[in-house]
Amino acid sequence: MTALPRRIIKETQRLMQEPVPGISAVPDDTNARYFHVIVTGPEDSPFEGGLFKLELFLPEDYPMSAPKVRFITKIYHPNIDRLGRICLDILKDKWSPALQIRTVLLSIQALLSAPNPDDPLANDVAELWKVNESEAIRNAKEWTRRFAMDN
Amino acid sequence: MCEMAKEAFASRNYRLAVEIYERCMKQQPPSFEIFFGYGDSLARCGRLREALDVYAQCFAIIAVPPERLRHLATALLEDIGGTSLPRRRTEASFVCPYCEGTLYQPVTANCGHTYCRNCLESSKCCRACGLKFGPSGETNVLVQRLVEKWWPREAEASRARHEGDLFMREGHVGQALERYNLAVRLAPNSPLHLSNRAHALLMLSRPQASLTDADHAIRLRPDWGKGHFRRGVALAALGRHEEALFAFCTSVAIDRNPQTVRQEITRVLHRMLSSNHRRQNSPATRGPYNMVQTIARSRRNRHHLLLPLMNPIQHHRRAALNTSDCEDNSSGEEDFSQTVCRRLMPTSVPHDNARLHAILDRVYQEVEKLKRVDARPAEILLPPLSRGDPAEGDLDCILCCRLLWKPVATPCGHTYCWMCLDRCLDYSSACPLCVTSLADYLASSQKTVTDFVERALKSVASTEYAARAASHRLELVQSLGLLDSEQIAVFICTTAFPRVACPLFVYEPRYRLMVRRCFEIGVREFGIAACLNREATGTKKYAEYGTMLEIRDRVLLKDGCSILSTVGGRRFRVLSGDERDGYDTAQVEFLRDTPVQPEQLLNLLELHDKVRTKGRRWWDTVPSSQQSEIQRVFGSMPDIEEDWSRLPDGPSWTWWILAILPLGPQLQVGILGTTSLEKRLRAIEKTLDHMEQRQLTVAPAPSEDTTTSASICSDDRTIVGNPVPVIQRS
Repeated sequence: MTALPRRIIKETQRLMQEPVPGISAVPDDTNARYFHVIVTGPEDSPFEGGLFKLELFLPEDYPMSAPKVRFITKIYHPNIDRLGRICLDILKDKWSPALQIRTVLLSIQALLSAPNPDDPLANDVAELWKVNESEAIRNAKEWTRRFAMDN
Repeated sequence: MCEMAKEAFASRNYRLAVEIYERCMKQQPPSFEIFFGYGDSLARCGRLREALDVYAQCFAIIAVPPERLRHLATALLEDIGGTSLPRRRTEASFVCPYCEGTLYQPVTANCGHTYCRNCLESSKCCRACGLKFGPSGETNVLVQRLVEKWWPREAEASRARHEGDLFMREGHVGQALERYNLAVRLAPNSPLHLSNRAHALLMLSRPQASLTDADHAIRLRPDWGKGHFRRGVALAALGRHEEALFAFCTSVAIDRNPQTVRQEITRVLHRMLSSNHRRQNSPATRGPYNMVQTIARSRRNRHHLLLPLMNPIQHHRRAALNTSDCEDNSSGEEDFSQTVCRRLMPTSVPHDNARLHAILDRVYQEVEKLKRVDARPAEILLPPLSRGDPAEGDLDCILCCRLLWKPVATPCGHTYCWMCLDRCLDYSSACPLCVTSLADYLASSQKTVTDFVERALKSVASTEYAARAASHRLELVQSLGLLDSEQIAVFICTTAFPRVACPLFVYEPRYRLMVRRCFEIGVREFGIAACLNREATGTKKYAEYGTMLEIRDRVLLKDGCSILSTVGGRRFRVLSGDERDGYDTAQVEFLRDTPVQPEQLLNLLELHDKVRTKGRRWWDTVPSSQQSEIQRVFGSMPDIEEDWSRLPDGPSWTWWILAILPLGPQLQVGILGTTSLEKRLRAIEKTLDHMEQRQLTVAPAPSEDTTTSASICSDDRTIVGNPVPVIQRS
C-alpha cells in the first residue's frame, strides 16, 4: 500500500475542519480512501428532513479519476437508481481533477434539490416525474420518511 | 581616387578609406564630399575627436543637414553602446522584463517569462531569453494574485501607468498626465512613473517640468537608461544641447539601445556643431547672404578653388534653405555632395572644438564609471520577508495540494505543477480549472517553468521548495520500484522475449505516466507481461512471467501518446503485485536458465542444431511479403552466439522464432517461464513439426501501418489463434 497522497489528506482535513452545511463525510477507520457520507435532504425538496447515507471511494488514480459515489439509503429520485448509483456528469465525463470530494457532495446535494428527469437513470421514476410530478414528489417524500428518517 | 575611398568605406574598410581620403586631399583641392567622406571614415575608425574637428570645419562654412551626421552618430553610439556593461538583471526582481515595472495584467509567455499584457503585445521576442513569442495567452491568475497581495500600491500605480500609456497612444496627453500623476502619488519611488510623466509633460510643452521629473527619476535610479534618455530629450527641448548629448550617451551606455537614441543624438550633434560654428562667426557674418560672400571671396582670392558646379543663385537659395533648422531636409545631402567645393584645411582646428572634445571626454568617463555599477531593473520588488501571511496556500498546486513543483502556466493562465498538468493531460486535454481545451498547447509541447512563480517559491519557501524537489525525486524512484532491485513497474500488454524487439504504442494514461517517469529519471526500463483472462473473470490478471523491456527510442505524438521502440531483457516471475497511480507494480524474481551440465552438452548441441535447421527451413517457406513484414519489426533471425549454452537466456534466435511462431498467449508465457533451454528447444521443435505436418505458416501480416495491431489481432486468417503482434497497444 502506498502512502496516502497529500491531496487526500488535505481534503479530509478540510472536510473535518470546515464541514459543508448539511453534509458530513468521515473517512473509514481502516481505509482512508473510503468515506462514510451523510447528506441532509435539502429544504423545500421532497427529501427534506431525510438523512441519506452514501459511500464514497477514492480510486488509486484519484484525482485523475472521479470518486466513486453511491447512495446506500434508498431514495426515490430520477437520477439515482435502485442500487444507489448516481447519474451526475461530473462523476463521469465532466470530471476534472480540480474538483474535490466537497464539490462532488455539493453537486449531489444540488441534484436532490433539482432532479433532472430528462437525463434519467431510474427510468420508471423519471417517467412518473415527467407525467405526474406531484405523485412522484409524494413518492419521494414517502420514501424519505420510510428509509431516510429515524435510523 | 575619391571613388576608391568611397568603395573602401562601403566595404567597411574604414582605415583604408581614411588613408585614401588623406591622399586625395594632398593631391587635389578637397571638396566637401571628400571632406565629409574623410570625417565619416575617421568616425567609423573610432577616431571620433578628429572626425568631430573635420565636421566642425564644414559647419563653419556651410549649413549641413543633420542627416549628414549619421555616421558620426552611429560611430559614437557604437563606441559607447559597445562597451561591455553587465546585462540588466530583471531576474533580480519580480518585474516585467519589458517595462521593468510592477506587472499589470501579467501574461506568461511561452518561454516562461511573465510580462504585462501591453508589454507582451508590443514585442516580438523575450527580453529575458530572446525566445520568439507565440500567441499570447490569458492573464496568469496566480502571478496577478501574488503581485496584488505582495505589492498592492505598486500594482495600483502600475495599472495607472499602463492606463496612462494607453491614453498617450491615443493622443489624450492630458488624461495620460492625470494617470501618471496618480501613479507617482501611489509609488513615488518608482522612476518609471516619473519617466512616463516626463514624456507627457514634454508633449504638453512643459520641458522644464519634464526635466524635473527626469532628474528625479535619475536620482532614484542612476543606472537606468530611460531616465537619462528622458532627461536628454527635455534638455534638447530647452536648448541645452551639450547636456542633452551627455544624457543620451549615458542612456546608450546603460541600455545599449542605440536605435531609439540615434535620431535624437544626431539632432543634438547637429545643433551643437551648428551653434559651435555660430559662436565662431559674428552675428553679422551669419546667414545665406554671408555664404554667398564667402564663396565669392574665396573664388576671387584662392585660385585653386573649384568653382561650384551649379549656378550661384540656385545654390544660394538651397544653401539658405539648409541653414534654417534643417532636420527634415532630406534633399540637403544630395545638393551637398555635388555642389559647394571649397578648400578646407584638416589641420586648422578651431579652438572651440576643445569644448566638444571635453564633452566627449566626459561622456567616456561617465561610461567607465557606469561599467562598475551593477545594472538593476527600474523597479525593485522584493517578496515579503514575513513567512506567515504571504503564500499560505497561494503557492500550492490545486491538484496535488502540495507546494508547486516546477510550476507551469497554461495559455488560459492557470498554474500547476509540471507533472500534475502532464498527468491531467493524459486523461483529458482540458484545463482542470476552466475546461479550456489545451490540445494545441499539448501538441506544441512548449511547457516551460514559470520563472516568476519559481522565483517566488524559491524566495518565500526556499527550504520547502528544496524539500519538494527531493521528495519528488524520491517518489519518482519509488513509483518505478527503483528502491528495491526486485521491484518493477509492469506494462500489462503482451509477452515479450529476451533480445527481441517489441514496439509499443502507449496511449493509456497510466502507461503514459509510467513511461514519462522512466524518461524523467533516466531509467529506460520497465517490465512487460501479457494480459490474461480478462474477459473470462471480469478482473484484470496478468501473466506470472514477463520480460524487462529496455527503451531504445521514443516518438512523442502530438496528443501525448507515444511509440516506443523497445527490446526485451531479463525474464522475471511475479511474486506479488501492487498498484501505483493506476499502473501495476510487482515484486519479482529474475529468471535465468539452469546451467547446462557437461554431460548434457553434446545432446543439447545436437538438438540445438537440429531445431535451428528446422527453424531455418520453416522460415524459408514463409511468403516473402510476410518475411519482410516480420523483419521490419523483429529484424532478421539472429546469428548463433558462440557461448549460447552459457547465456542466461540461451541463444537469441530461439526467442526470435518464438516471437513469430503462432503460439497462444498461455503457451508463450509458459515457454517464457521455462528455465530449461532443452525444454524450450523441444517446444519450438514440436511447434515446427506440427506446422510442417499441416503445412502451416504464420498468419499473414496485412497491415500497411505498424500501429494497426488491433486489426491483426482480429484477423481471421490467423491460424493457430495467436497473430504476429506487429505492434502492441497499451
